[in-house]
Amino acid sequence: MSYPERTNTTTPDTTTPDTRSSDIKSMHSQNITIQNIGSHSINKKRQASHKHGLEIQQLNVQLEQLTLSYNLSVTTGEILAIQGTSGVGKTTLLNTIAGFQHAKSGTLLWQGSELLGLPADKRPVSMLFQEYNLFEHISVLDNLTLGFTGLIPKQALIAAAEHLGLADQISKMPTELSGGQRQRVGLIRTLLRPEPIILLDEPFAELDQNTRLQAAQWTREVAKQQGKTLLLVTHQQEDVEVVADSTLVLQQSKSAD
Amino acid sequence: MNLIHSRLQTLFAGFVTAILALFSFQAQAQSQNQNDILTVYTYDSFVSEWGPGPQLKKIFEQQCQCELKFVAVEDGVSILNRVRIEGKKTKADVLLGLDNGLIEEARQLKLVRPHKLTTDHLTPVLNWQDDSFMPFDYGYFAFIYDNRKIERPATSLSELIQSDAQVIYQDPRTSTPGQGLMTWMKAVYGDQSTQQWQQLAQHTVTVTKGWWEAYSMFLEGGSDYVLSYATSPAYHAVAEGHEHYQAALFSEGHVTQIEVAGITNNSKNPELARDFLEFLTSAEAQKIIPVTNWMLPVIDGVELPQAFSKLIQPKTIGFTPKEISQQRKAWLREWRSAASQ
Amino acid sequence: MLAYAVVIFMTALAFYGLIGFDQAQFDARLLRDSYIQQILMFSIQQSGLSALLSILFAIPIARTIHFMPQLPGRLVFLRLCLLSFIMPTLVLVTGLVALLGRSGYITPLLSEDWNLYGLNGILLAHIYLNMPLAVRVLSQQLGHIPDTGWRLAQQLKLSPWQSFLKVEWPAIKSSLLMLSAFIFVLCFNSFAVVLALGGGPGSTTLEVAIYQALKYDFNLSEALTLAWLQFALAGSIFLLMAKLGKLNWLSADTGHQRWLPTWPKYQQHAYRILYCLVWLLLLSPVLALLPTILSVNWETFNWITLFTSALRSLALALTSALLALLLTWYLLQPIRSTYRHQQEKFRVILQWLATHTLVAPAMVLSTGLYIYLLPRTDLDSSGIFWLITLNALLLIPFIFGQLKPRLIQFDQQYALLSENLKLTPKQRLYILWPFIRPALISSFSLAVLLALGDVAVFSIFGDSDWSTLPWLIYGYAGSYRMAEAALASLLLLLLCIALIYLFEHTPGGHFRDSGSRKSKVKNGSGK
Repeated sequence: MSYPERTNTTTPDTTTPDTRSSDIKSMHSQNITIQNIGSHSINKKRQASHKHGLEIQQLNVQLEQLTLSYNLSVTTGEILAIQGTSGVGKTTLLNTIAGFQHAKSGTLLWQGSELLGLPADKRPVSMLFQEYNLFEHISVLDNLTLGFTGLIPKQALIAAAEHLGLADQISKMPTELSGGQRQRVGLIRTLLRPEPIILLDEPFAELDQNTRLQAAQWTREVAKQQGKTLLLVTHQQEDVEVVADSTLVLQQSKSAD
Repeated sequence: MNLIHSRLQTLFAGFVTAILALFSFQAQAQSQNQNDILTVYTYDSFVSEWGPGPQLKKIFEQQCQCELKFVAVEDGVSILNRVRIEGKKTKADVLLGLDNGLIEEARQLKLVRPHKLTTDHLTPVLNWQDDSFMPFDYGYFAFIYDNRKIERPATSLSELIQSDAQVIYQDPRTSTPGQGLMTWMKAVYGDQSTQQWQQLAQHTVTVTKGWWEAYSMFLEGGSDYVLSYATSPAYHAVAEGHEHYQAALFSEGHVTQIEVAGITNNSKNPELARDFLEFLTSAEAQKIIPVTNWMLPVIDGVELPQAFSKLIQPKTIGFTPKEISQQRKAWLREWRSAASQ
Repeated sequence: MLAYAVVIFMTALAFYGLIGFDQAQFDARLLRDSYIQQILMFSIQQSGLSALLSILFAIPIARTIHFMPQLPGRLVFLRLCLLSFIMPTLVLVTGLVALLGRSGYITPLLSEDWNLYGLNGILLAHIYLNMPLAVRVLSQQLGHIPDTGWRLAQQLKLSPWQSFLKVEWPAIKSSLLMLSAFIFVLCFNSFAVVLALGGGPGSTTLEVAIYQALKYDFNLSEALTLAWLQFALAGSIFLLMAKLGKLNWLSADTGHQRWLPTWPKYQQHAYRILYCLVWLLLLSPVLALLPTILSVNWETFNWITLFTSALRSLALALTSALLALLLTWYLLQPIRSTYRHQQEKFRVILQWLATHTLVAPAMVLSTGLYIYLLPRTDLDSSGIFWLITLNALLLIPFIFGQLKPRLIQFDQQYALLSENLKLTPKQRLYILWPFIRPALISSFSLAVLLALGDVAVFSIFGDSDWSTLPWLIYGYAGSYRMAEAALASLLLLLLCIALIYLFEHTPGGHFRDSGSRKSKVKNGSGK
């Protein structure tokens, strides 16, 4: 599977972490009860005006009685951290972009073309879930190399595993690994896949202080090097500082007029 | 997933085809060479290695240049049941081992065709005039006991029923001796049979599907009495050289069994079947049958071992084949209700 | 959907046959026939007694197994329990006759009036087949008692009887009811045991009466009426069971013991003695086969019949099991997608359709199909096709019960990941295969073992010229050739053990382990 969009991607300037300024964006995720669906207001603090990149407009997702509404845009090669209280709809947003959650209305554009009509396995998206990122019954190496069509970047995968301290774990089964180790395996595979959009759902949650920083730095490095557009859900401010270019805080709208 | 499905689907289809092919192959193989094979349905003890089957087969095959194929079921009534179930598709050419209690039923079901043979050579004792069935041996039903275990055997059917001696008999739905006992009970007790069956059930060890099973079990020490034939002691005297097993002579009289053979309506080899029926009543076959099937010959002048002259000589009671055929269903129902209480 | 078509079509044919359109019809008058009432009473009586006695004996044995983890050979014992539950019934019947028949090894020690045939034999066989199952389930239930329960009991200085009532009873109570119903249904549908040990019209069950009506009397109307009766009763008990919950019957509790009460010395001895006795009891019918074989007349013995029957049985069982596996696989595909699309109601319907053969006993389906096919096809040549298909149909619920949870678990854990990784169908199969292989192998081997012991379907569709090993055993036992019967039984048993061994040593196939993981099968007909 190849993505024609990938060739159109403009490679952005690599910004080093220390010189980068964090631009805090604020977004409202609407929480509207069914009764007054028709009368919601959207806070458009930042108008989507990019031709390239990921553009999300009035994207409405129905979760049981709850309707979530999203508006945001990310330029190609940008790393956006998504924050917000639990239950505000961070994972739902990632699932909708990846195609695991059905959107009721709105648009989801990547490089100007609509993604909503595509099934999950046709979208240019690679996602790291909160759990079940590895097949438990095949080895770590098999997990890493699984799902590539054509050339498998085996060297890069193994180099990354060594870099993140997983050199000895490669031939083991996932069940023999700690939670943090498994998370890093998943992270490596997600990032090194060919898709241009990377979605990470709390990728560092189970890591200790040191490996956390290491993994975060590696993530930014790889994303920037390969021009990935990356959305990262996290609770930790330090992850944001190390990895992201900008931050989006999802908020539950209190007034639903 | 679709690809896997279509592959498995192909596999599945292939699998089904393979099985179907296997069956049709088998069916074909069976349908070949039917001209040279005479299929005879009979009961298991007839074709056992000590029964008349093997010897008769050898001699007849030499005469006919054909293959004689025995298909054995548990007992005489089962032969009828099986042919009835198979209907027009039956492979049987000859039914061997029905008896006088079943010939009317078999005739009404149009299972057999006239044999077109003369019956003049048969012993006048039988007074045989049936045009569809040919008798090949006969005897009296009797209860057999071991005289080492029982010194004073029952002298009547009622004495046996009232006693607490252990009894094995055969299921009248599958076995001709079982049906014989049913006829016997009706002949002696008429409308009072139900109570007598219930009384008998009190000391019945088991009701078997066929004669062989019952008799084997009795010989293994399974009971005091077993329903068999008045001729059975001759077997033990001749083959085993002792007189431990004896038939009890009942004062009410005994029921006769005439074992018969008939040509099926669907037989593809009626000529060969007719030859076989003729062969059965020939002197050659009649010499073999009494000392292998342990019944009396149907032609006069057959030399029998000494032991046959020591057998009990009961008086005959019973019903005509027509009477049995009319009542059989009702009698069976009565037996099964009474014996299950 | 082809699989659904096959399954529904077969049952539809059977019930079309059962509705009775030409030669046979439902005859309500039969219900007033004293014979029918008698066999109905006997069916209920023997199943009830079998269930009650199996469980009564199982309770002390299960306690022994649970409270004495140090007993030697405990794990082997639990496996033996499993074996005796899935052992072909005719092997057991031969063993029992060798032990307790008229000239059995133990018979001289018994009273003069002892008679194996009838209720005695039926109960013995049913207890032997089902008590080990109860032992497994109950010992597992006891294992679920939390440590605190025991500690509290000791703290309160409860007497053994009190602690049984307060601690153990609540733990086993719920499964007791379920277990009784399960054993009741198995015994109610029991065919081979009653056929071989029934001993006359006095101890006939409905299942055997159907067979007799077909094959002894050729009374289609009666067979049909009895089949409906059997279906109605077995079906209602099944529904009752479905309400009661699920029974995890294959699972073995091999887990570690944490904290157990210490028992007085005399009680420990009692447990040990009981344990040895049960070992002896479970082994004796099998061991009894060995000396019986010695009296086989080796010169005249028909080896060819024995081995062709064995091969035929094996071929039939493997084909039926494979067909059942394929059908189940296809039956499961739409059910998988209902999970994905959250179509709750549709799923319930599909599942019911897929496993509905549980409710209709083997004999009922066979009878219906037989009545339907008899005037239409040449059963002599196509009988084997129906034999295989019907057996496969009856095996589906067992395979379904083991495969479904595993497949659904896979989907729940990995469906998103597979899509996210854009796996090709081939890659998906490559990933799925190692995941379901243990369940696949264990359910396949269970299916083969069950099919290997089939007597009921064969008695209707089989051909005695084309005998399977169980039918051959029945034939030998029927003509009282015990030595030959014992030899054939032993061969069948060895075949079963070899199959279990083979499947267990297939890479990834752990008959017991995978069984203990996710095998919730509610019912088992066709024993």
